[in-house]
Amino acid sequence: MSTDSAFSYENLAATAMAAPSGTAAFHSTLVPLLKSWRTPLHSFHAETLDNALKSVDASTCSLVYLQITADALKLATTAEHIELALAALAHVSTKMDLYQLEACPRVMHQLVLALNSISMETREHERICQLLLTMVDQINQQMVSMRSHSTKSKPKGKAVKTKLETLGSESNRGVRITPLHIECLKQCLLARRRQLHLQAMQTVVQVRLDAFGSLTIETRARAFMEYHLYAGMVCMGLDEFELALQMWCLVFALPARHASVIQVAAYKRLLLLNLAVNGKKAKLPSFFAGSHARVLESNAVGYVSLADTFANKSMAQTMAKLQEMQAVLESDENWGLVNRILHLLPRHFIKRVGSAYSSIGMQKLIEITGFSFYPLAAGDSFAELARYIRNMNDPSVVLEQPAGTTAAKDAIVRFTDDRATIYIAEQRNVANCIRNEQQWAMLVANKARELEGLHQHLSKLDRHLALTKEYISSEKSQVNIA
Amino acid sequence: MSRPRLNEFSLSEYLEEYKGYAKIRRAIFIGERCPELSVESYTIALQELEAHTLDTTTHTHVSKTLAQLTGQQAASEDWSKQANKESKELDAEIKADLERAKKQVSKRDSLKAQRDLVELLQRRGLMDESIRALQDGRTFCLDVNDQAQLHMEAARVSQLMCRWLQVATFVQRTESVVPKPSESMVVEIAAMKVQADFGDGKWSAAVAGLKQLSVEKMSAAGLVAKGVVLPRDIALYGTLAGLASLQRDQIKASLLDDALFGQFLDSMPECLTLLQSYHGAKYTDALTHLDKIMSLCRLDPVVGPHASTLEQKIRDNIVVLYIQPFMSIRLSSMAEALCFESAEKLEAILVRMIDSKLIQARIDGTTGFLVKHAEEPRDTALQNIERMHKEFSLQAELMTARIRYLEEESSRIGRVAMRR
Repeated sequence: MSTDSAFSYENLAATAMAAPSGTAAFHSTLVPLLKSWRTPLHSFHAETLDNALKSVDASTCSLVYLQITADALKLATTAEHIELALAALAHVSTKMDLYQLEACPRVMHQLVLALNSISMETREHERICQLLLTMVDQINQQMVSMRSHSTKSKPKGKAVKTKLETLGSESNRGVRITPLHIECLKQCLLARRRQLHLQAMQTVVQVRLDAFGSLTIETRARAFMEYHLYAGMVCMGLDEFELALQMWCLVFALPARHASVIQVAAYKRLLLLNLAVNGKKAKLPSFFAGSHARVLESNAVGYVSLADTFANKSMAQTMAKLQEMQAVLESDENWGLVNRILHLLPRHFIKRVGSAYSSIGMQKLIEITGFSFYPLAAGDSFAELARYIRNMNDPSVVLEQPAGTTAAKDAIVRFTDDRATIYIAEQRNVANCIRNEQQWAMLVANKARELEGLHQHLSKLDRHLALTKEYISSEKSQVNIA
Repeated sequence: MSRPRLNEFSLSEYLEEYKGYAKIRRAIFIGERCPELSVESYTIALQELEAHTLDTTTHTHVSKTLAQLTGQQAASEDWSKQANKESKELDAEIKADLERAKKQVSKRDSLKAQRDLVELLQRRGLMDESIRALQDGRTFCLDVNDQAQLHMEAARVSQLMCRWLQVATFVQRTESVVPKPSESMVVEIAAMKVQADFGDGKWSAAVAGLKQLSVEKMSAAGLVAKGVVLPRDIALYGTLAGLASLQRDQIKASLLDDALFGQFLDSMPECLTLLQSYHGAKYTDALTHLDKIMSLCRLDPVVGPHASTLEQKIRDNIVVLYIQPFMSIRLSSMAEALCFESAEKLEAILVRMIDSKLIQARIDGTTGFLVKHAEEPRDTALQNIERMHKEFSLQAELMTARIRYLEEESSRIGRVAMRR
């Protein structure tokens, strides 16, 4: 058969029929065809594509269906074309087959590229995101079920070499990042819909990753970084600040030859968010190369300077710095992030005052914290500060109105010790103390359990590492030296 | 800066005991910083330059400055011309001696000539060149004692220039070359180390070094006669370093009750009064004495650069000691007792000290009291547990991802290699 006739939809459908999933023919004929596939059409031909789609069973051969859909998306030029292609995608989105996708990840990559292009043209991010969420959900369920299958017990006395051969199979167990996951998060962010954020959180972000796998053709490190950058941004959209911080920290987890633009983007966001949540400059992981860290800092000079200004305890300077950086923040698309976290900044200044004062008048508090420079404190600073303190809902910062006064400027702010251990005399009774102790005991017990689990997990990884060729060879050379 | 507020302070008497370049540098230092004493100090500097040096550069600078201050004409250039002529003659003589010694291959003569050259360079005020000449002189040394002498001389020159790291380096070289130096060298080294440690801001080391010194030993070693470091300087260094770094009971043991240090205090009674007031919890008096001593210290080239730091540290220590007996204390009373201009100024300092964890207290802004505040150790421990757990969890998460990645990469590379 000539090459041209090989790349025809009739041939593709016929091959799909003759080589169903799970057979040897699937891997020997269909997969190579798809790996080298190029569309026979030069422009969108609705009838041809429609016939091609109808000739393939989406349930049993979703991979081929996806390939044809990807072609359709790539060739689509009008709204009508796009509508047809997206309808086809909707049809296959509930019939995803992980086994087939793993056999030929290239199809997934082509689909993602085409979707990305279409979304930029049509701005139908919400719809595309919904489709991707369905697909990702399907894939995740299949990955999770693979994870829960017990591994076959290996005969005792197996050679180390065999263990090395099978070790790689661990990388394709459990939930892994695919281009669909990354594109789904990207579309979710572009759609700017809270509902989609919630779904993405549930379907994508909160599902624990088990391995890197081989479904990302490009460098897995890049996919990992992109995934966590977008995941962090999704978390931000739902005000899950702690989780966002964790996601962005994970962008720096992997070894690399040089710092990447993804890390620069994550670092900028990390700096901003950490200021708001923890009141200090974010630290990169201890194992992150110093040379890379310097590259990041040099590319985020303004942000680092902002963090340093904030650490100097001056609200006025911090706000002035933010105003100065507005253009930079807007071009980095971080101005929205700043507006989201702006309400968190004054609390750190207020809490810092609490480290030196047990009580303070409003006038003095405004002077020390520079609250009048806070942009949301327009008008009456006293009233705004009083409102802010009430909204803080922090039991260690209490606003009191002395008897006979009603004006906010006469109020007093009392600072008590942080944490659940109550040491205010009038609340110190036996029942409270016992409850307090119980709470702390439970907290400590939970932490201890988590740490134990972590310890077991790290021990398991340690055992795996001990079986890798590199580790064994380095161990042998150490023994020889000794 | 104003003139020192010590009783009956006389600049000429103060500078009289210093000799040579130590006197000149001190006089110029004072002249640059104290308008009230500038004319007198520059005059003293000029007289000393003309009497004992051939340093025409410094002489020109000092005479011009003096002329600006007094409005009179600068000193004539006769002295400079004479000094230059003498320098040239001496230089030519020394060079001839060096040539002769070289031809005769006489190391002893070469060393002598090199020493003469060093002395000439020092008289001309060329200190860096003199140190280089001393280093070059090592090639002519006959034994380790000669080397030690050269290193010591280099240390002395560095001491004059207040280059403390250099002093420490040359002293170290001396000690490595001569493990058992003479008694006078030991005393001189000890005095240099105390001054260098103080100059470097190492207060505890400076106090520890005092144990090896006494007025008698310094006199016997000729240090007092040399006029570079005097007993009153040692008294000053010891007092200030002790107040900055020692606990109250250590001050009594190491300084007040130490007979040898007491001899130094005799030459600087203000330091004794300060120590006694501090130890006796008479903080108002102590601060008054401190203020007076600091007015002198700011005009001292060794103490001057550290005057502000030392003053703040000693004041902080006084505040800590003052607060110690009380559970709570009114800020206005405290401000009055500790000679602060206002309770607000004291409050700002207390906030700084609380942030630096120098005191464990809280300010009650509404009542104007400072109240002792001890954090519950259990609270602190539990907070630390939470914080450490959070950090550890994140680090473990990062490491897990990293290890997993490395593991998969290595197995992937292994599989590719096996297929080939």
